Amino acid sequence: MTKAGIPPVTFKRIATAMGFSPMAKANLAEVHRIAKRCEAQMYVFHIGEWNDRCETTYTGFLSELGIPNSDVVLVCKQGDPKEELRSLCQENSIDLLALGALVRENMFKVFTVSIARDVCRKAKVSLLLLTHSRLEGMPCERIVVNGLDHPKTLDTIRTSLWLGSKLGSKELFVVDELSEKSLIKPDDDKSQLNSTRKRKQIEREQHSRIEGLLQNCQVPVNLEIKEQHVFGKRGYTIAHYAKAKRADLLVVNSPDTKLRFLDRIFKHDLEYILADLPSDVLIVHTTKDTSYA
Amino acid sequence: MHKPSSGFKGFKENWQADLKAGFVVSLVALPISIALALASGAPAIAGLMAAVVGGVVVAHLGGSYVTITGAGNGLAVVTLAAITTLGNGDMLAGYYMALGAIVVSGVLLFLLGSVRLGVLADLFPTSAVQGMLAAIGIIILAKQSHVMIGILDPESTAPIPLLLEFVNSVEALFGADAGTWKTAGIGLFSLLLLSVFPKIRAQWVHSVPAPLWVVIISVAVQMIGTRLTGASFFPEKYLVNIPADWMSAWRMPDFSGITKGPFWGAAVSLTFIASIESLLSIKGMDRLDPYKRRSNVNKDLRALGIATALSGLVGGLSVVTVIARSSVNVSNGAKTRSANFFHGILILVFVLFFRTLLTQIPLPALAAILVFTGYKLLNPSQFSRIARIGLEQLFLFFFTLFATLVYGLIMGIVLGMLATFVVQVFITGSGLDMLRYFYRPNTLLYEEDEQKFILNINYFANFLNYPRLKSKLDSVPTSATLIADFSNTQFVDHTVMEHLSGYIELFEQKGGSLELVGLEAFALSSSHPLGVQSRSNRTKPGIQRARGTSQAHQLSAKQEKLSEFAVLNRLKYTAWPPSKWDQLVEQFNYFKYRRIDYTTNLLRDLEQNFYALEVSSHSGEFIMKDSQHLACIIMEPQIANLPVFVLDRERIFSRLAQYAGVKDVEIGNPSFDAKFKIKGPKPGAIRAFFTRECVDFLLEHPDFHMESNGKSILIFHKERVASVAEFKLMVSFAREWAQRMAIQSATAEEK
Repeated sequence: MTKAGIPPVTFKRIATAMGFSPMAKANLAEVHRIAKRCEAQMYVFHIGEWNDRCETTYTGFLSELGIPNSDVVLVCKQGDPKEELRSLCQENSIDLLALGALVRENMFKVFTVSIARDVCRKAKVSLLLLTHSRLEGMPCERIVVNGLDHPKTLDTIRTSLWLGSKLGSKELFVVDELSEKSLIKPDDDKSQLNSTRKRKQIEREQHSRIEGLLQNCQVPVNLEIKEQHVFGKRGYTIAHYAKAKRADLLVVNSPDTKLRFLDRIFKHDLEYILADLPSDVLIVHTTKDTSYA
Repeated sequence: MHKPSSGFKGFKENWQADLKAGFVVSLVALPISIALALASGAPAIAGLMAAVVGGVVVAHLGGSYVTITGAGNGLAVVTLAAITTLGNGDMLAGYYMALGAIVVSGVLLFLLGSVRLGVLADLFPTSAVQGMLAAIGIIILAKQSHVMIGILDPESTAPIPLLLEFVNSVEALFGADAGTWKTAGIGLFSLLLLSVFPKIRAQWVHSVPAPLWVVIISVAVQMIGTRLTGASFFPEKYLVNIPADWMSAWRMPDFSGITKGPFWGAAVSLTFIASIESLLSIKGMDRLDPYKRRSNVNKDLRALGIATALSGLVGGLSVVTVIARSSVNVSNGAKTRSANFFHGILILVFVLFFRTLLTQIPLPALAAILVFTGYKLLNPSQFSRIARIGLEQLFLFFFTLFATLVYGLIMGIVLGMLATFVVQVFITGSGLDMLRYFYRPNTLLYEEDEQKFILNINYFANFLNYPRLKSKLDSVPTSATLIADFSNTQFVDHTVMEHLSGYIELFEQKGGSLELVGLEAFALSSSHPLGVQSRSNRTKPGIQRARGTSQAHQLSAKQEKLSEFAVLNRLKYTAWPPSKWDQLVEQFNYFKYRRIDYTTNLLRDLEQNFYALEVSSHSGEFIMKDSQHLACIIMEPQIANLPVFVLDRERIFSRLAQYAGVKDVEIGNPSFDAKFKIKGPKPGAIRAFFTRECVDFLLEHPDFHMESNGKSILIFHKERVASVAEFKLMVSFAREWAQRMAIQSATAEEK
């Protein structure tokens, strides 16, 4: 793969779902800001009946936020929220669906996350879950992106680099989650030494792998790239790391398997992140086949 | 200190020292092994065989260094129960069936070690384990107190009725014959000797351990008495019985019950208690090892399993690691595992060549040793210590103790765990969360810098999820610096705090350090540094109250170290400064979007006008609440022309919208400009402020961030709470920086 091999994943059409939750206005502002930065067309989807009250609130929001009506394409549809959102994304060939996660009540969070789950397994769209939308806007300074040894990772890192350059980010942590199973379990002083040696060796190998990945990407000048190898449970570890490092955005691969009900009880990978959103989360939908080619 | 070599080389180097230690230990082990065999309801030889097989096998295959193996206290209780239930009243048949169970339990122990379940012993709450051990003490004491005063078969079998029956036994004594009186006399004398022994001043007395004195004196009484009277001084039934044909009397263990429940119940209980007793002893001995070697517990478990199975085959009891004999081993200069080997071999020599001498030991003397052991296990002086840690711990201790006495060992510890869980749910008021996060990971470990690790703990840490925390702690080299950050944790229980204090010791021994940070708010509501640390609803008013008054509060370990540091460095320390300090912090842009919850750990330097403190703040509310804890320094330099600026390397400040558009100020030093970004409204004033002294100094210490608001400067290092070492670093940075600024302002005035 050469440097010019595949173009980075870019977001040309960004959509958001409009509910009339307390955070609706802040979400609208946030998504508009992102769309502007990415030079993308913004869509607003509304599932349900569009009555006069909706109309007045909506136009009120737009004028208060200073968003010209021409910037936004509003699409309304009636039906099941999950189904319709998915079909709307498909019809309008949306690249990125931004959902304002939660607030106020746990129920709402559950709802957003369940849409997220549904969309990410069925629709061919990247997903952005916003947790910290604010009217005045928070700069996205620090991005944490996963650096797993996986075919999708390259696209994910490319996307995060591209988005980072658009949003003016300053720091990017490539977090490489490694399985603790590959380490020797230390029992005494000697095995501890061996374990440390093994850990260092794995870290060196992974470092050169990530180095190779980054060589295939266009790294923006102003973005400082850091690498962190963390041993622990996949999915959980990166979420905890993003929280500990106070990241503004966490970028992860889309899941390989369909998330079923059992996965929510025996959590793994993405489910850990969805259960405890540490920051804004971007789930990158790649064009890559999920099967290891 | 030169560590003893391993293998044959170590044996060649240290065999004299190990032989001496092994000899002393074998003298102690001899009476104790016989006594424990009798307490188990097994023939005397069974206890000795456990010591012989244990010594020989574990010394070769084990993973610990100075431990001694043999028959154990806790096991005596389980074995007695196994023999009684399996034999249905027939003690001899029961004994052979119990041997079968012992062989099976050996196999189970080996399997436990093979699948690395050495961590299991850490899963039990500390207070419950202490309660169970105390109950074992009572069970031993209840039975043996009768034997000690010459009543060989009391009517009751359960521990509590046995204790009550003791009064009857004493009454019966008054009407008894001279034979019984003699035996009661030697038993009571032995007990008296054991209890006053530590208080005897004469040095020569202590050259022989107390249990051996008991045996020497009682055997002397028996032999002299026999010589004088012509007949056996103590009646035959009160003497240890090792038949001359003990070797040829060997029989295969009875495995006939292997298909039935009681057999497996016995095998599982034996395995369970053997592993707990061994693992606790191994851990205890690691702290006593003069060479600070770390034992491989899983390897030791495997060795103990093999030894137990072999011991069962030759008619011996389960082999466990025993702490009392091991500590005798260490204090007599043992260096390697060969001491355990010598102890086993020497016991075999005693049995083979001094059998007749052993049969002269009167049972009441041995029972006295057991009564004393039982009392030491109960250890009433620990009650007040546990009560200081927390009344709920005392409750759990007694709850487990009585549950064990009434329902047996396994049921006792299970009930103890349940009670601990219920109490913790009650304390935290969030049982649902505890169940929800029970199987979910909650720890993050990463290497922040070379040899510096950060361990971040979420949600809660208690005995249920301690194994996960332990595996993270174990994977950090003990020579490294480890900071365990609890600022996102809601609840830490006594078991975890106790284990952590063990790890702190371990890291210090190996030249590393483990520091617990983020526990300040906990310290206020907890009664003891090792007690339950809960960020419950009570904490917040606790902080407000603490901040309102100037009286002394309960301090966390970190706070105590900080106050010590303050005294030594001409600083003034306040653990909970009043709320006016919040306002001082609030005026900086960094906190513009954050609400200050409280400040803590204030260190004031009154000469140079700077303050070091930790600030807890949050942004967002309710479930979006995002708490942050930050250690920082605030300086109020007495200079007229302090410009407004922000300086940082990791670009933390530029996230503040106010500075988003402002261009960087270039100082003129290329390496400085490449490394740092300075922003501010008046470039001229900033350039004048950053003189050569300041620039050089900052190049040497590039990890700090600064914000000046024209009156004072906010400086911090990492965006998290700091360890004591990091506090020291910040203070020394501030001192130096204050000096540079003083020079700067002096030169400015000259101009």
